[in-house]
Amino acid sequence: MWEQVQKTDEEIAKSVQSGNTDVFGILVELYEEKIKRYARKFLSGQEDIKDVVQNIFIKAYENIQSFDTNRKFSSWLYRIAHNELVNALKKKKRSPLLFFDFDTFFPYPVEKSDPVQKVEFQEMRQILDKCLGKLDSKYREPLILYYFEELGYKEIADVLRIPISTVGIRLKRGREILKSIYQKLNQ
Amino acid sequence: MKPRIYFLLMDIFSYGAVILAVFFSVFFVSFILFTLKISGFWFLLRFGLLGFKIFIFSFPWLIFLAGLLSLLFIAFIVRNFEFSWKNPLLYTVLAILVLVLISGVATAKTSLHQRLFEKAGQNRLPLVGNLYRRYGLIQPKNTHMGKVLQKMEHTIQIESQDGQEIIITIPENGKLEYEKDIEEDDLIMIIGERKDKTIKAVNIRRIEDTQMIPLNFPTKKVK
Repeated sequence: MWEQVQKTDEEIAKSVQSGNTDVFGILVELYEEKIKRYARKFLSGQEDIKDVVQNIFIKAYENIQSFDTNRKFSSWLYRIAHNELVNALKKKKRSPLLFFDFDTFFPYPVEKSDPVQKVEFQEMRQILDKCLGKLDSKYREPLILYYFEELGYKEIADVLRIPISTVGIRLKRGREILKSIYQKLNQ
Repeated sequence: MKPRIYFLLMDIFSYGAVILAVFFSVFFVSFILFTLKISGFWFLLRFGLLGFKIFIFSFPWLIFLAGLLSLLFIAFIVRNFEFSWKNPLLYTVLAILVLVLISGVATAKTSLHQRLFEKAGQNRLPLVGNLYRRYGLIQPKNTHMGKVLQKMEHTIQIESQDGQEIIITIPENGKLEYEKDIEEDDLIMIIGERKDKTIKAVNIRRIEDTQMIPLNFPTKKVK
């Protein structure tokens, strides 16, 4: 077991794929808290969160053979989590299924990382935590993945299946909206 | 745990569905181009506003819609492929559109539709035969084509698509501005009401390139 713990997530997943199904538990242990924290940003009921997280790991186990071990396991798992959470939210409130939105339709220049962002990182996390519920899910999810799960632009693009430039534009707009909500709250 | 073969089959199914949808889109695009060509539709645009109105009302919109739906279906499935969602959707849609249009134009230039059209006319084409019989040759109301047999001062005698000799009457008041240099053996398109073997011309234009399709072939009459 210790040998498995020393392996990367991708190597453990490969091991599961080749039949060593017991080691899937290591992946569950590694990601359970992260996925729970991620789900908590979208759902409020403890039972709901527990059920969704359980479903995410069941789906991951069932579909492990579709995971490309040359890619990042975390992005793949967050993708499953994203789908499950979207489904869970749809069940709660009927939202229209959009074929596309304009953010993904048109090309945008890729936003370069801004050094000021690093200074503001902690501050943004606090604002995000307070105003999360007031933010459109289109902007909420990339912000959570960026500030709480600390994923990079490419990984967020892989999780949400949107172009990297769209990740940049959504983070930028999300930050602006978030700041204006925060300012209104403090007035 | 789902076996690896399951995911492989799902991938094959997705790619297969896209290939099939591309095939249908190309078929519909080339079919529309073919039917516009043999029905002489492009020449309608030379008749000004009246021709444009007939063009719009007689256009095979149902086939156009079928082609459009196939394109949307392709875009919908292709969004699941990595190469697609990594780029703006606009690029994917444009790439599919260009691919289908180029392939459609190329297919329309082959003799494929002509052969299928002839087979459909002889009732030797299963499945899509009805499509060709119903939408292959569209004849808009009050629009006629024919070959000039004789030209007189106020009348033109033509051989119509149904092989009949028809007299086109041109109003004597000179209000009809038609191409005066029309000669014998020219193919012409006439807009005007036909009564038995006479057509009272509202407008006449010379046409080229269009094959004269015998009218004993079932056509769709557009009102």
